[in-house]
Parts: sequence; C-alpha cells; structure tokens
Amino acid sequence: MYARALQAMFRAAILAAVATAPAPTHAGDGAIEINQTCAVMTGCDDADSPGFPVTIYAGRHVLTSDLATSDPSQTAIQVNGALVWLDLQGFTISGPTSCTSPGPACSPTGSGSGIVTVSSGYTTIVNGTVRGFGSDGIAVNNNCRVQGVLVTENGRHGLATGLGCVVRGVRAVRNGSNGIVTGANGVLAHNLADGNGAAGMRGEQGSVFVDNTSDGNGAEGIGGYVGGNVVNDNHARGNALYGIRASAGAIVEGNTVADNGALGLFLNGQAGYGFNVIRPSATVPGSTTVSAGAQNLGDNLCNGVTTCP
Amino acid sequence: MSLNRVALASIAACLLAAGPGLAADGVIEINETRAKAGGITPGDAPGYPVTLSQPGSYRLTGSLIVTTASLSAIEITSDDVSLDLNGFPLVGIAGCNGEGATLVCTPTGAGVGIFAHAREGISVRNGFVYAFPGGGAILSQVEGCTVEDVSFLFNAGRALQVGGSCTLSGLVIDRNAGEGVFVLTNDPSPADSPSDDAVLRESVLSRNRGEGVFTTSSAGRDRFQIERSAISGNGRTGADLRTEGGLRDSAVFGNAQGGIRLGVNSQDPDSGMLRGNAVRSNLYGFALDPAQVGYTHNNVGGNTNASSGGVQIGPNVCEGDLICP
Repeated sequence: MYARALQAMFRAAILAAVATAPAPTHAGDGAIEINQTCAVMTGCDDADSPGFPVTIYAGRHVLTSDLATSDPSQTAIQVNGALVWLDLQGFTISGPTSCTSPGPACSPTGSGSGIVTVSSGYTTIVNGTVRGFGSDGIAVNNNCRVQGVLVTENGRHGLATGLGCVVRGVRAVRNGSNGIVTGANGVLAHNLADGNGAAGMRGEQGSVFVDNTSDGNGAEGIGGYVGGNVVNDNHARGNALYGIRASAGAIVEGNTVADNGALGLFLNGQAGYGFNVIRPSATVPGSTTVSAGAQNLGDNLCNGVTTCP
Repeated sequence: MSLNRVALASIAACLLAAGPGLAADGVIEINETRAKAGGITPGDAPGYPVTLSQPGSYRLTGSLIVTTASLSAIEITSDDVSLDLNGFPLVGIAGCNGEGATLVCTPTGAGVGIFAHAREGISVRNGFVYAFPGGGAILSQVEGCTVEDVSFLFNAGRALQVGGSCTLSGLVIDRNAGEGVFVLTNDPSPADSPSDDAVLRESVLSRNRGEGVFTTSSAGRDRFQIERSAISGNGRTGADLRTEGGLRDSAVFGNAQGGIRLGVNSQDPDSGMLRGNAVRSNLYGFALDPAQVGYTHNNVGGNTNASSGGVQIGPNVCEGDLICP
C-alpha cells in the first residue's frame, strides 16, 4: 500500500508541476532553480512558501546560489516528493554549526539538516557542499544516489541514507557523529571520511564498501553491520577504535589498515579476510591487528609478518 | 559575401533547419510540449513515442508522462544517439504492490520508457524511468551502449535490457516486475565476434520480481562482468549468467531462488570466476559449472541450501569455515 500511495502522490505532484505554466524560477534547461533570494523572499517552487525550508516535490532542481540559514534547527531543503534530482551545481548549503577537532566538538547543534527527504524516496543529490547544520548534513530515504558532495561540520551525521543507495565520491569531514551511514544493500565507492565523531562510514547487511578512505574518525573507520558485507580495497588509518569492523558473512580483502586505536580488523568469526596489510598503532595500548577467530584466507601482512593474527 | 558571412549564414541555416528545440550547445531538447507537437526528428509524429531517428545528442528539459499503456516514451531508431535525461523522469502509469517474488504491477502493456532495437552506440544517462507497463529501457540487440546514473523503478516488465559490449554503472534498479538487467547477446557479425563483453558496476539491483541480472547468448562467446554491486531481495536468482562472466567485489543477499548461477544451463560450456563476493541469506549460495567456473576469496554463508559446482581455486569461507563443496 505504501508503494502505491507513494506513486499516486508522485504522479499527482508531477502532473501538477507539468500543468503549471513555467514560472520565473525555471532555468533554461527546464530545471527549477533554488537560490537564497527565492528561498527567503518568494518561494522557489510552485508549492513552496517563502522562508526555509525550501520544499520541493518532483523533477530536476538546481541551485543557482549558495543557501544559508542561521538557525541550527532549521532545515534548508525538504524533499516531499519522489524522483527528485537535486544538482547543487557546486554551491554550498550552510548552517551556523561549526565543529572543531579533536572530537569533533560541534556547536550549536539542533534539529535542522541541510537536505532531508520526508515520506519519499528515489532522490539523487549531486555536486556541492552541505556544511554546518545542527543535525545531519543530508538525510535521504531509500534507493537514493548521492555523488560528488562534501558534507562537513554538521552536528550529527554527514550523510545518512536509507537502504539500496549508491553513494560515490562523497567526502564526509569533521561531522559530529558518523561521516556516512547507510541502510542495507547499498554501494559505497570512492568516498572519503575524515575526522568524524563516530565511524567514518557504516552500512548494514549486504552493503558494499570499495575503494574508500577513512581516516581519523572517532570509532571504526569502516563498519559493515548485520552481515554479508563486502569491504574490499579500502584504506582505514588512525581511527580511534577499529580500522574495519565486519559481521558474519563478510569478505574483507585488499585493504590497507594502519595506526588504529584498537584492532585493525574487528571481524566476526564467520567473516573472511585476505590480501590485507594491517599495522597496529605503535603508540596506542591495545592496538593489535586482527580479532581471533575470523577466517584467514591468506596473503595478509600483519605488523610485518604473514602470520595473522 | 565574406567567408565569415558565409559561415554565419550556414550556421544560421542549420539552426533554423534543426528547429526550435536545438539548444545553444547543439543538443536537441525534448520536453512534454515538444513531444506533443512532434517533429523532434524526421518522422516523429505528434504525441508518444518521441522518435529519435537521427544520430546526435538529446536532452530532456522536462518530465515526460505517458498515460497510455501501449505507448512508449522514447523510441530510438538511429545509431549513435546520446540521451541525457538531465535529472528528469520518464513516467508511465503502472502501479506496483509487494516486492521480490510477491511484486505485482498493473497494468501491463507494450509501452516502455525507452525502446531501441538492433542499434549501436546508444547512451542513456542521468534520470529516472518509472512505472512503465512494458518495462523500463528495452535496448534490444543494442550493441555498444552506455547506461549511467539512471534509476529504474516500479516498471511492470524488465527494468533494463541491453545487448553486448555495454557499460552499465551507477544504476538503482528497484522493484520492477521482470529482471533487473537482462542481457541478450546474439550478434554473430565478424566485427563483434567472438566477444561481446559487457560490464555492470557500482549498482543496486533489489526487490525485482525476476532475476537481479540474467544474461544469455545465442552466438559467440560473450562475457558479462558484475563488479562492486549490491544484488538483494530479488524474486528469482540474484545473478544468473548463462554467458561467460563473473562477479567481483559484490554482495548477493537474500534472493529468493539463489545467489549466483554461472555457466549452468548455458548453450555452451561457459567459463567464469567469482572473487571477493559475499553471498548470504539466499535459497542457495551458488550453482556453478562443475569444471569451467573457478571461485576464490568469497564468503558464502547463511544460505538455506548448499552450494554446488565450481572449482575452488583458492580459499573461501563457506558456512563459517574454510571447507567448501
């Protein structure tokens, strides 16, 4: 019933949008423009009222200026419809929060996010920066796509997604909690998480982490939870807890893991690992290479020797 | 008349000939108004489908909504067409309930989001194909295609069909009533034989009623590679490759009729490789050709039934230990 209701809502929204004569907010390529002036003064979409949040429903939207709010509990853009493609076009959406390392300590915090989806899914967000919101930088629902975005100095997560999302080329830097946290069955590739308060990146069952870098975060660098994750060809260095954490059924292969505060690889006994280079921290007591009991598939280098753990 | 004036006159003539939908960058624009008017390319009749009969670059400047189950949104009848959905959706009229094996979509019909047959050099990028009664993008026997950053959702048939030599990446394919990706390679022409290699990368294929990925070939020895993708909750097998091929660095999770089939029920003895995958919570983990498919460094566990076939060419984790069938 939810899916049918969602589709009905979307169709009604998009039909209304198409039926409406082009307004001054439509760009030359048909996209709906969002900028600070329309956000504050006029509303940016046909159904959007003046003031934040800018509320959008369907179709392609593009930023044509930076957006700035001053209230840590104020959301900048709220997506109320499905099939929204939001191109930040290199602009920045910013709030008043700033975060300082180590920690990081973020202040002020609040309930506002840079971009949030409400009762909808299938959103794509590309190409820009979301900085300084009291809560999450970006919080999007299922089956999203987020690419080429910097999320930084937000009070909670940098990027939080539902299940089945493709997250590529995202940089999550110095957010108050996790850099990137996703639901089940997503793909996270070519991302960077640096200096976040909790994990660099986390995903639930069936998630794929490939070619990511996760440095200096407050918990694990990369965490595959629940089971059946792929954690291959990543770098995890200098994280306060584990380099990589993975549950039953995970494969952990081809990673470089160094100088983390606890285990380099903290793995369930039914997880397998191979082709990794793991070096404990020379300065942190308790820093070791691999948890006992995980399935060693060979070809690992643990603190300079090929015997692991 | 000076050379510059001749050149300017020629350019102006070309622009006029191309019609009002030609953007400043030379891309031909497509939107609802132009679709209803017709004439986007020669032979394009008013209404749907929009027919793209000439090579070139095309870009949506608005959503296209098709309200007749038998009609497609866009039909490509030329080689070398680049279609940028530009963040807009193609929208049909199907509605779906359930997911995976229980997914039911109505109405069904002949209308699809994008259709092409026996063409080459087609690319589709950046948008959504949603709720079409006949399927999402049916690029039947299309060789050398590129499909990137497109979401296929709630279509009442297969989400995406391509031929050989295609590159598919950044796709989100969720809750379609057929296969997520269907690959049929059957072009025996000398230019393409013996290989029609294709690849799917960094994509999500979930909750479709059919297989997440199904490949088959009626000619040549074609290969389909899946890399860095999440294949979950589909109503049949996660990946059923009846061509040569392989999976690498992918998660195959919770598919109703099994995780991976490779080289089984193929017309020819197809070879392949599984490496670096997590295969979990499916009806079975894998079913592989007993002699021609190798596997190494996979984790296969938590599946209902035992895996079968294949040649273990390196260590794997199977049901929690290093002993595999």
